[in-house]
Amino acid sequence: MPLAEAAKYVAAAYGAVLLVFVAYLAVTGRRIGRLRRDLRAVEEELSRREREA
Amino acid sequence: MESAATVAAGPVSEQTAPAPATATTTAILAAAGVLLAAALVVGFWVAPTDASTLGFSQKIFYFHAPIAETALLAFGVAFVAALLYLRRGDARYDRLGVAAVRLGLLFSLLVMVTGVIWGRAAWGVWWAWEPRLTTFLIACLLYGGYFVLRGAVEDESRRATYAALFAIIAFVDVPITFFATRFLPEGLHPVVLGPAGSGMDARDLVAFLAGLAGMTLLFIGLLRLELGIEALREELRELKFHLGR
Repeated sequence: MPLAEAAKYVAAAYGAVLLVFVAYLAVTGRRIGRLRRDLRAVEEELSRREREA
Repeated sequence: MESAATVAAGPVSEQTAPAPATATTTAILAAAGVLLAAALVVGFWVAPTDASTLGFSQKIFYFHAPIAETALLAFGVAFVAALLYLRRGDARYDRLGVAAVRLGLLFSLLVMVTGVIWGRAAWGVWWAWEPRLTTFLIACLLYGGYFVLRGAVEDESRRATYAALFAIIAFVDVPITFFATRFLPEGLHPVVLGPAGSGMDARDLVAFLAGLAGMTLLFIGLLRLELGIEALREELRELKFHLGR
């Protein structure tokens, strides 16, 4: 296979690896963000209950 | 990490939302990055271009093979976690199993994607029903089923037990996948590290081993991150329980 053609496959393979990891990190970041938002909501509810007590 | 009871007893501070990525996890991920970069530098600029029909497309090997080994390692971790859960009933092993299977599937996806691209370049086909590819695909489907099973069972204890049993059964395919090229040599995949050695140029071997070490560290770092997230989720679940939500 000519070098130029092989290089396209190599670039596609490494590009796919990069893309999948970036997508994974983006999804993981969203998961962490959602958990933190939920924790903040719990914090607010606890504070509210303390004020009411 | 504070316990749910401690948190419920007083005002929740910022400390109750610990970062899933600790300094150790960050250091592991950084080391993985350095090793993977080294693998690419050695593989592309130091190792010779393959003289066989593979030619330049052989460069895909430096990530493809280590990713495959790491995927199987992840399923191995899930297997051990499943055994430990069934033996001790500790929910931490269930969380370890979930995290390991999730990462195993991530690495498996990468194996399949890089594999079909390399297969097209090396063999002229996107897919071949040869032993290694077929058994790896079966592993992907099996471990995908692991999450389907988890989603189908509501009771936590039963879900963890069924998932552990499933992870043990699914693991049967992992050694078959690993040894497929050795037991069925008529397949398209070569044996990379066999009893007769690798047959690789020393520079190729260095790039491969750096890639393998890098991917293994990446898996460990991401596993720690996933466990941190799972622990955070569990903490939140308990907090909500205490709040009566």
